[in-house]
Amino acid sequence: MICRRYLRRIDDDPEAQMLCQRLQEEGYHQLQNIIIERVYRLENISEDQAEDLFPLLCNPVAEQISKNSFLNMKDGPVFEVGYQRAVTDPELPSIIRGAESLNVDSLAWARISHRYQFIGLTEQKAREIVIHYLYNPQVQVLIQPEETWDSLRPRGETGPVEHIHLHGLKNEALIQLSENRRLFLNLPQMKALQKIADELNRDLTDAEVEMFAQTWSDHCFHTTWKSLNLLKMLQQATTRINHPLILSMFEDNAGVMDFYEGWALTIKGETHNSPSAVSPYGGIMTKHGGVIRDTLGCGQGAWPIGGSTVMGLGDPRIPWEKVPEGALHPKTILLDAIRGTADYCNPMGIPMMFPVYRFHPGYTGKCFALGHSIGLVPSKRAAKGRPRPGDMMILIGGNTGRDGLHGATVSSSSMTSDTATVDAAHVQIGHPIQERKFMEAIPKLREQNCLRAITDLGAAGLSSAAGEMGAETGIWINLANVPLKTEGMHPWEIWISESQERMLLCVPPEKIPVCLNILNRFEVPAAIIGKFTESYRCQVVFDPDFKKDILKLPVSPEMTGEHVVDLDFQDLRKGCPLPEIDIREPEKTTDEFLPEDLERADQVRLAIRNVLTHLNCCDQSSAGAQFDSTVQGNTVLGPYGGIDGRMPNDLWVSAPIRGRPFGAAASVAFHPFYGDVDASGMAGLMMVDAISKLVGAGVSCRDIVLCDNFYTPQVTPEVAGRLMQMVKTCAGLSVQFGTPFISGKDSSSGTFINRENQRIDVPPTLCVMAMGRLPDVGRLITKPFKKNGNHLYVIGPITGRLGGSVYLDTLGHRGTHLPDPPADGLVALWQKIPEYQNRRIIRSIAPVGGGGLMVRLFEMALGSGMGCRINLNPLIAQPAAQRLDAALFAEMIGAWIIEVDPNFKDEIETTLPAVSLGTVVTDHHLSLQWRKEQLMLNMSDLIKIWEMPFREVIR
Amino acid sequence: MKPKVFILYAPGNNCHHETAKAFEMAGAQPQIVHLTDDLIARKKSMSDCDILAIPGGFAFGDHLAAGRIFALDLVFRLKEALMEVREKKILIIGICNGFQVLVNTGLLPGTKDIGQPTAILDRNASAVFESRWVTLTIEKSPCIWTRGLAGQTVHIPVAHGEGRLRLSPEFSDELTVFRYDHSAYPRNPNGSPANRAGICDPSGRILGLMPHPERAIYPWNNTDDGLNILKQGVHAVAG
Repeated sequence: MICRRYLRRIDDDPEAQMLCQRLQEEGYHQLQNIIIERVYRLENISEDQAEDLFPLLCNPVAEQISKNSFLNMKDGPVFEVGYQRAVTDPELPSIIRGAESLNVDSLAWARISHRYQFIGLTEQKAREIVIHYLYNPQVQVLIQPEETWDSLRPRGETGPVEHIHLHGLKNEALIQLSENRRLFLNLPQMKALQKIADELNRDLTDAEVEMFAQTWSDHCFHTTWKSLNLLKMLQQATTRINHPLILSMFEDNAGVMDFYEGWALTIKGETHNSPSAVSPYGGIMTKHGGVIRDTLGCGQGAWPIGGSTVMGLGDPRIPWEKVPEGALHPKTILLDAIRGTADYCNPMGIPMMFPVYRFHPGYTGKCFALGHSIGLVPSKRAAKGRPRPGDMMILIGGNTGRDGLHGATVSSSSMTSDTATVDAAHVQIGHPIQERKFMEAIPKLREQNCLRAITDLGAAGLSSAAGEMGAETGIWINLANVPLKTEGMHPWEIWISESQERMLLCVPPEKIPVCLNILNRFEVPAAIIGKFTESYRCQVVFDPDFKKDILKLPVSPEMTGEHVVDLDFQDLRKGCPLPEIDIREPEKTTDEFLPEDLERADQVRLAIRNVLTHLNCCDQSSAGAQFDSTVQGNTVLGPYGGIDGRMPNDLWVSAPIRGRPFGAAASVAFHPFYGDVDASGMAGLMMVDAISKLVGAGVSCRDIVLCDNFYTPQVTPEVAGRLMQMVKTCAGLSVQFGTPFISGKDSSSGTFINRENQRIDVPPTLCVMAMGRLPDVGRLITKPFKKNGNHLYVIGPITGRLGGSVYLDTLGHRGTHLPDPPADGLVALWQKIPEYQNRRIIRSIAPVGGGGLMVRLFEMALGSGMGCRINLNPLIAQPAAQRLDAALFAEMIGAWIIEVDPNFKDEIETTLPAVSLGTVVTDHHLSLQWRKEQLMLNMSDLIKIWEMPFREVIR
Repeated sequence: MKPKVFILYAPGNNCHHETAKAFEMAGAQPQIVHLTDDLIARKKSMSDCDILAIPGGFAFGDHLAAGRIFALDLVFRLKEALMEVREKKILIIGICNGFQVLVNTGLLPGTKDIGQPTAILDRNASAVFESRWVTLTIEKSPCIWTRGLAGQTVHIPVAHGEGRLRLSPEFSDELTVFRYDHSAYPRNPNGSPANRAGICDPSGRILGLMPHPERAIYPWNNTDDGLNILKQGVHAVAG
């Protein structure tokens, strides 16, 4: 029997109010009010027992509960949204636990849904709102008013292992097969598959075919990058640098760099672009969950100490009719992305390092959705052990469901307006509580020597994780031992399911009792699903009747039950046929635009206003402050700082060894406009930007490593040419700087095509994260101005080049020339600057970077409550600059603004390439002087215009 | 003897490590105790300590309501132990999610029986999670944790989505221990009436607060104001 209970708020409801306000602002002027009601459906309890659950379901101080709905249908249309039948509500285990506390043990299943009533709207308008804002067809359903259910449990059909006949199939039949099964394999790949089957002289099973399709997808196999041999280029550069701090690079789930006192830092960045474009809330959660598991599965298990979200999106202010058919509105993606990050990262208890949102029209079809995770691990545990025959395979975390089937293949294809419906299954809802539980248990397992190896389950699920782990020994797995959340899954579905929040452990047999004990103590679900063998084969069975104790099986057990996979690892390693990719030198963009230089005070005032209110430069703290940045208690510099609490910090710093002053520092560089001008130049600038943010604050350039995340359109000869140039630049500069890449990821699926054949390519994108260490966080040099009368200078590469700048974007242009700081000059500066930092001559510092000098001066003033008096003439007089607009807005990447005690004026001016800017003043204003003109800008006025644009978008 | 602090852990809690470290720095001997595997399994007794701390996080995923499932465990599965804690006059502190737990159990504001909540830490007025530094004034109150600190201000972080403290009209304002220093958002980050950030029970032994003192304990954490509050509690027990 299924009981229902309806819950409503007694008086105010902030969530309903905010929603109502937002919708009214978006043009639903008839909307008077929204009422939200929660519906509980409870299976296998009596009405009396449902009454006993009162303390679990309702807080009488603010809520009211009833057998019947509180809503009067006459007041307005009502829509009810709940999860689909195949999906388990995340709250289910908690509800059952709570019910047991109240002695209601029979409760078998529960579901929660929400009813929305729209007062003042027609049914049609209300439906439009529900579909646009409140309902995600990928995982949710609209529950009909009279719908009655016999059971709440997820349902599904199972079936036997299918055998796929490939022998003798002609080309068309092979293509047809690939399409019918949505394998996303092209003809050469299908032919390679056929050849494997022919060599084995048997049909392949459905699981084997799916496994190859997953492994060969661009997402897993990186076919584009492999064909062009790009990863090798970066690896070779890193090998050549031979950096003494690197403990692991490009081999494990994350790169590892030595830290202090026996500890090491791990770094990883992972994109999740396709799912985030289709279903941003779930997609973004999956992005964070996945990259955090890369940290947890690095070495013998690292502890995450910081995370980021870096998003590239289309303009969130475009009208609905400008949104391409088949894509979501950029604003919808933005709002859901913020919500997804908050709902995943906050429960994980990992401090937010960088919440970055950048806007570029190229991301209107497919967004850029990157997340980083950095971690801490004992240096001697930074490398995985090798599984040995006889070791046990334990699957921990959430149950396995149908979620994410075909995720790896879909994310490698270009997005079409059909993607949203046909491949619905590849998006899922995150359950951070599951992941947090094993995050807590993993260090304990590591300390007790339970983990020979550990890895996360991501794309291609078990097939990929178990396959990689067991390739040196062989594996035997009984899929019937895998705990399921969806009844009746096919064996192949279990094998490649991408259900999140799962990890795979390789545990020595003698450690099994200790291991299970720890997992139990931390309430982490665990199942022994198989073992490592000495067969060098990947052997997977589905045998629900298998009753033997896996611990007592021979080293290489026999195949029993249904044979799901039975392949030699030799066969599995047989590479996917790599496509021949033509490479063409990309054409230079030719937006030769150069505006007339600014001259008068009113022109300057307007230009500053336009740049400060640009979405890429304005205050984004209304989103960033929704993410916990102080949890773990070690934060030194969070995303924002200064007395106002909103000044963006250029780097993040934590002191992760509790009570010790050692600093882990990180910075990100991501400027989407540069790629339009010159992809190769952009790549170099991202490196320089990320490194100089750390060096400026006091991190030695010898203590820095890098992580790259590339995102490019589907490969064409031109795209391939650009990619080659970008990677070559990165490899070359990393050697010149002595700063190695140790981790990264590439995605070559940045193309959107819809039914109307509208094509949108993402700009060539590279985000670089720099990670470094410093011996004493007390010696960091921060950004806010420090003292009245101190001198201000620009040091480093001065440029007048405006290409790719925010300033040119405010004028509707890109320009042709990016800044090009000389590498040798930068290295010389990076080696020179520590002396001035150590002697405390530099009192505050900010890298000029995105938006240019004006934006940084504004931020330095904002963070200090002080101001500055600037004379721009010396800067304009520099041969490299020459223009007023360049002095104000050129994005002089690699250059810094520094604040210096007047006593050291002469020393700075004679020993560093320093151009005088002016002085720090007590008044909260920016005063500018150039040629014969001057302008006084009141900080409180500037703050007002700077804080509004982003806040208005996300409100 | 250093006072013994039990820091309760349930799945989803994520501030127990720093809370333990902060109590250690405040001069106590902290121990992380598992709600399920230690207390409900009767391997440890909840009253076998000098101070009970319920840390921040998202216990049980904050499912249904923040702190509710944890509170049900305390009230229905550990009722006798909870009575013992009260009889032995053990100090209790609930920080953020821990405060939400205490309010759900009825221990705070403590005007009715255990199991009968008379207050709620409700959704923030902004309807979103708020992670910020706030300034608090310490009020004159019977609270043992702030004895001698009344009149001072402290600067420590908040990080929560449900911190708007709504109390029944019978609540006596003398039990207000901390207030945000201003009513305007975001200085009052959640819209809490009368800017209340923390309250105690009439005995002064039980303190609940939304801000996180354990996140401001090192000179490099922006401030180390949080340490004083914990020290005060530890000293009160150590005598």
